[in-house]
Amino acid sequence: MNRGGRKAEFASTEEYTPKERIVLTVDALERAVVGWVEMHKELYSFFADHTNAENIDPEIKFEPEEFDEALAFRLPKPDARSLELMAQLHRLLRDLRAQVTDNDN
Amino acid sequence: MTINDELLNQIDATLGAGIQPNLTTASAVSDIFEVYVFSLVVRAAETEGATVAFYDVHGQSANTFIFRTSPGHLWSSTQPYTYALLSFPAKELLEAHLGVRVAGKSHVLHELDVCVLTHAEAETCRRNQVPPRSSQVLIAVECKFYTSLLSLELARAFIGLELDIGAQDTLFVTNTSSPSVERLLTARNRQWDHNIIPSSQVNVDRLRNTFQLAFKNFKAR
Repeated sequence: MNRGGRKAEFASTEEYTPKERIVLTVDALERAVVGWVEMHKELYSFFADHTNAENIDPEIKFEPEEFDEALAFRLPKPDARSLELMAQLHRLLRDLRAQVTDNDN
Repeated sequence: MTINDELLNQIDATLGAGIQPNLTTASAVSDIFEVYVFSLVVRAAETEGATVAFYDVHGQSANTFIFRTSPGHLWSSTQPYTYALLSFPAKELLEAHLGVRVAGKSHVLHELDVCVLTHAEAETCRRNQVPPRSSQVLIAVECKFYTSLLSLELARAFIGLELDIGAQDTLFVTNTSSPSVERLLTARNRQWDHNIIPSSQVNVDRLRNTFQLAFKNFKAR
C-alpha cells in the first residue's frame, strides 16, 4: 500500500573502492615511515643543539618505569643511507599516488 | 586501474631496506612523536626569550636525554628522566616534562603527554613525592600518533581531560587528521592541531606559534 509522503532514508555502509584503498595505504605509509624518519632527523638535530659538550653526538634513550613492560630503546644517529632511502620512498609513494589519481582522470 | 609493477617493486625494496628494525613498534613511534612535540614547546620558549637547560630528577645536568616509555610520576627516580628548565628573564622558572601524571580539579590523576608547569610546583612534587596540581600547569598537550584516521572517542576523552585539567592552554595534537574529531573539538571550543610532521611546515609553524602565544601571555602576567 502506498502511504505517500517522503521516502525514508537510512545510512548505509559503502566499501572503499580499490583506488581509495591504495590512497589510504599510501597515506598510512607516509605517516608511519616517512613521517617518523623526518621526526627522527629533527629530534637528533634538536638534541645535538642542546648537548652540553661540543662535538659529541647526543645520546637519546627511552626507558620504562618500574612496572612498565615496554622495552627500552635508543634513538640512533640517523644514517645517511636510511635518510636517502626514505627520501626515495617518499618520491615513489608520490608517484604511486599520482598514478592512481591519473587513472581517475 | 593499472599500476606499474616496477613502481610497486621499487617501493617494496625501499621499504625493506630503509626501516630500522629496533624502531618498528607503534609505541616507540608514539614516544618519539611526543618528544618531537616536546621539542616544539622548547623551541617556542627559546624563540620567546627563554634560556633552556636540561636536568634529571636528581637535579643533575642531563648529558644523556632519557624519556619514559609510558607515563609516570614526576618525582620517579626509576631512571634519571630528563626535563627542560625554562628561564624567562625576571619571571618565575618553568619546567617542561614528558609523560607525567597530574592531579586534576577532581583530584583524579591524568597522564599528560607533554606539559609545562612552574618549577616551584615541580620542586614541591620531587621533595614530597606528590603529583603536580593542574592549576600550576601552563601548557598541557595530548599527542596522538596514528597511521589511520582518528576515532571520535579520542576527541570525547580529550574534552573530558581538558575539563578536569583546566590548564590555560590544553591542546590535542596529532600527526594525522579526522574531520569528525576536528568538527567536535572546534564546536566545543577546544584547541587542536593536525598533520604535525616536520615536512608540514605550515602546520608545525602554527603549532609552535600557539606555544609561543602561551609563553607570551605567561611573560605578561
